[in-house]
Amino acid sequence: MKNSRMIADTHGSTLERMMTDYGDSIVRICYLFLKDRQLAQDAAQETFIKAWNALHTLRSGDTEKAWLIKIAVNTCKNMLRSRYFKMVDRSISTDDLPEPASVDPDTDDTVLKEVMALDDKYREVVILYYYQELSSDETAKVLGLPTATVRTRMKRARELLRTRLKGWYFDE
Amino acid sequence: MNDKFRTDLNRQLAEIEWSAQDTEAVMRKIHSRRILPVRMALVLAAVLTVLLALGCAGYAEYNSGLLSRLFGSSQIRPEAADLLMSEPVSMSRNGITVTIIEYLYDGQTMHIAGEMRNDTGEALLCGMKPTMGDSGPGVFGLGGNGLVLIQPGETADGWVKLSEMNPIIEAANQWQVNILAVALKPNTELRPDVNDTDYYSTDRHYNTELTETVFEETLSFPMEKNLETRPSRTVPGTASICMEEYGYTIVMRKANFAAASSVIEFDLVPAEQADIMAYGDEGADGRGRLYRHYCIMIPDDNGEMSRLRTDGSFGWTRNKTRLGYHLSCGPLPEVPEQILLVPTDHENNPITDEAVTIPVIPSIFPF
Repeated sequence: MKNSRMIADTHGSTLERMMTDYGDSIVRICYLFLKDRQLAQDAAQETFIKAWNALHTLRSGDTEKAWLIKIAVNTCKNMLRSRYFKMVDRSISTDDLPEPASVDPDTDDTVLKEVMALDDKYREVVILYYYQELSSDETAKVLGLPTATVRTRMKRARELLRTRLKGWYFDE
Repeated sequence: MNDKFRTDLNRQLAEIEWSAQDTEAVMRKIHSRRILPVRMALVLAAVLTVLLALGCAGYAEYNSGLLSRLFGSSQIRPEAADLLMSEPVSMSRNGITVTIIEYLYDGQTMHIAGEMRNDTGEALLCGMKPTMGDSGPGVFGLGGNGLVLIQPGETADGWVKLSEMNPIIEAANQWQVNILAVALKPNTELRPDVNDTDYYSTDRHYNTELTETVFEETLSFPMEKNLETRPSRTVPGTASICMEEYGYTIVMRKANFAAASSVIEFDLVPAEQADIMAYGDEGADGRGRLYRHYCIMIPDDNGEMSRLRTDGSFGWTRNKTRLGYHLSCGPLPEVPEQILLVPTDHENNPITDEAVTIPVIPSIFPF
């Protein structure tokens, strides 16, 4: 009993550090997947609970961040797949309500909107590779896809963003 | 592209952040799933037994986990406490114990809290969900909480809210609630990489070659509609208002105010036959002008209309003839004779010029 409590306490402090280090990243990834702030918070919390349950499976060679992101992505995908999610009213959050007409550079959310508007398969590689800076191999591992497929999707996603965000990152 | 893209996206996501409350919530949930020391469990069981033996109704009323989740500890309505069924329904087989701890049906929404305990000696993936049964009308399954890995000797709990009820139940005065409980053992030979977190997915494991179902039972209990607690409501089709700027008319479909939930549904109907405006039709600057959120305002003690803060969810449906809005949230503190349904601007401020007055029929009137 004493041993198991010590292990639990160690896991608890590891988890608290993970939440401090990666909490923002995880909740933002969840938001980009689920498009709903409240659900994103639920999914992020669930991610860390699952991480705590599976902490003993984290191998020394694993990248902690990629491991957590994989849990988060699977949690979001499970929520998106569940019938419950489809029945719950979640189509639009208050954050998606109309923005002021004037565009303030500090509040302009064009990039976010265009990323959110991408098809799921392109959005997820953009989130993981470009936003979270995972390598293409790590991205492939998280998504359970061949690396070649990830590279193809990255190329296509980049082309789509090139059109939609012209003037932001693609001066032509 | 990378650095600037990441910076911009981070800036635009600045409001989405992990908070201290999130950390607290995670730690609380984790601690609640830990094994209780045997001595403490015995003491707790003794205390609970005494409380139950005393028939202490007040205990259930003010300490119910389900009610606290629904309303917070300070907003429990007496009607909801009266409706709460807190006599646990339980069954055990092969080391698995399933318990429905509490449930509540307020005339339009059902809330169920349950738990599973694993005394089999090996870790199992467990889950519960409401399902359609064979014995008369049951509750349609809406998913539930998915599977959770329960270690030997541990208990996991969860709750589900069913706001989309089976139409048969809506019309019936009593019916059967069926909860399907399953426990799955990972197949040793095909056991996936334990580092693969999809390991916990219901879709992946239930009835697949990856697991062996070691427990599958349906726990049933009768539910009776309490005729004294019908929701207060509006008459469909009343309370319409023409929004001249857009050429749309608001037509109420439903506004029901029950002891533990409120549901409001209405349509935006265009004046002329045309395709309904889709979210985004007006382009980035103007999009969503019709797709606004609506808030509820009720008279306060001074007769002034004040905004009701409700936790809930809302959404839109669209077809060729109408745009539908639905709001599902907690109960009103008390049901007034009328409410104001008010659209909000992009900063979530009420636009009272376009408010719709909805007369509310008290629940004493028949359906």
